[in-house]
Amino acid sequence: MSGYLGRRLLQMVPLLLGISIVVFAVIQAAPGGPEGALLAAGRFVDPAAIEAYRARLGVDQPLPVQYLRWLGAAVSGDLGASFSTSRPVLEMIGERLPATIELMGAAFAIAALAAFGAGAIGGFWPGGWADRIATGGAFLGMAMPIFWLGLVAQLVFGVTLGWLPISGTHTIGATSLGDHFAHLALPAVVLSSRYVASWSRYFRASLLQAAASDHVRTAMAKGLSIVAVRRAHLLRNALGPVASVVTINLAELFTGAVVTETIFAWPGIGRLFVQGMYARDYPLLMGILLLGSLAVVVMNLVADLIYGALDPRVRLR
Amino acid sequence: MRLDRSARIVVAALVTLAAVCFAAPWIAPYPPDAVDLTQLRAAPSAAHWLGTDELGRDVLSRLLFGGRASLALGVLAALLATAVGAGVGATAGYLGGGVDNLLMRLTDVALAIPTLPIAIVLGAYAGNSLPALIAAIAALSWMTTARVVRGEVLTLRETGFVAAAQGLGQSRYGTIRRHLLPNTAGVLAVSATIAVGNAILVESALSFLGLGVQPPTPTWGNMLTDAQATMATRPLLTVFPGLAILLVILGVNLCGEALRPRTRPI
Repeated sequence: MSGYLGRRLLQMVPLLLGISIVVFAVIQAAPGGPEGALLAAGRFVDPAAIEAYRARLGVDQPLPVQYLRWLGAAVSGDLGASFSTSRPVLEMIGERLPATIELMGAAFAIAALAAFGAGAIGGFWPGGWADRIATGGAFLGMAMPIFWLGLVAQLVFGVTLGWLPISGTHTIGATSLGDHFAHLALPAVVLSSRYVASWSRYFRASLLQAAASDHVRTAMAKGLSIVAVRRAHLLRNALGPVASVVTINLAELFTGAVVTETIFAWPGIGRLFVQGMYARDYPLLMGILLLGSLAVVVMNLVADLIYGALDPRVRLR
Repeated sequence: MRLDRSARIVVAALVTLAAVCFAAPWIAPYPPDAVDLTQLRAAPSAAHWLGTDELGRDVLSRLLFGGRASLALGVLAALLATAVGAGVGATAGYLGGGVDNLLMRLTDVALAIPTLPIAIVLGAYAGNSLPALIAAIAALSWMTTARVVRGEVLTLRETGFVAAAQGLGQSRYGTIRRHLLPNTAGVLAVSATIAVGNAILVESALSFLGLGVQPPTPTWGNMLTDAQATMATRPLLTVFPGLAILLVILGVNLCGEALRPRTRPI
């Protein structure tokens, strides 16, 4: 087991190196550059001043040199300074992380509850009317552009009914927790829709697969009550695969929800990334993408470990 | 491949919709960018069946032309992604060894990079060019296909007919193209169908962030984005493109579902 873990951790090094090279190349080669921020002001800018600005940021150097400089700093834990604010990238990400984790965490919690219910209905009573409704809902959830759902939710609950605020994290001047949660409600529910749809389908499928296995037939045949079979044989076997899907999605905690954060003006990492892209703030973009990829890689490993822990037949070697 | 009756109805509906959208230049009542300043945000009427938008353009015509762009983008991006994924997966699975290792590590790298953020970066390359946008979306979605095809090929490689093909002197490329890939057609069909829906969703998300196909060329994604400004006063303008996207993706996903082998009920 420790050998397995050690090997997987070692494999991450070349993987992360590969990711950083690809991401660096893609970001730097994108049309436009950080000097666009000077030009956007709409006034005449001396070409020499643009050159000086590029030299100050270090973007006049050849790409391999820039990459090696970035890598050298990154391995010692320094992701560089943002072009647009001159502040350390890690500090900027750290500021936004709580908002993103709160939003994503709330969405994941809602999604887990709803997907458990919807999946269990479909897995225990396949083909019934409740299953049909849950299945239809899941297909709708997968087919809906999330920003359309967000806009409709804002329109219905925010504008027409006036029940909930539609943007920001709190009303200006208000500090109460209730006010904050009211702001969290719409984005969290909208964001959860995608996860509900996918998790409930996975859960339903693994419940049905478990129900088709021999040991469940044996348990029924020996006279165990249906409730006991569901608890001891179906749920226990079905939760493993679902747990790994959920864990892999958890990695998104660190990249944020670009679209949902933009619609609801939620100050998370997703919006920071979009702003960074408009400004061609290379260190900031690199930092967010690298941390996001690191989260994906780590969560994949955690998912495999959970899978092994939940299913004793799986031997991790 | 046999489809049940409800799946055939869905396929027929999708094909009809695609045909109507592609016939837009001939059947649309107005050009997509014809501005009528006397008819701003008009309600549905006999002249404008679905009303007009904030510049007095006919919504039905724009929906048809937008569908043309959105569907073409979805289908072409899905085909490209499937072709790349199948090529990478089949090569890796069949050749094995160092090539397999290299291609699969490359796939791991591509899979680990968060999708929407990197899509935003690639959107900057695409600018106003539909082919570039198609390539960018395909670049984000070939990986799963590659993995699945590699798995299938690994199993198929050991079968008798592949050994026979090699014994009869078929080249490696010929074996992959004539014997291995046709046998993965089932999984390819499923992943290509699902990829169409994903491509349309990604385009609409990029449009929302101002990075998709640029106005005045209509797509369902950027129509939805344009309609956002007047959502409170003219909610109907957001309803039509949203419904169009929803129905197409629903239909495409249902097709993917119907094509999936019965043994895997997800």
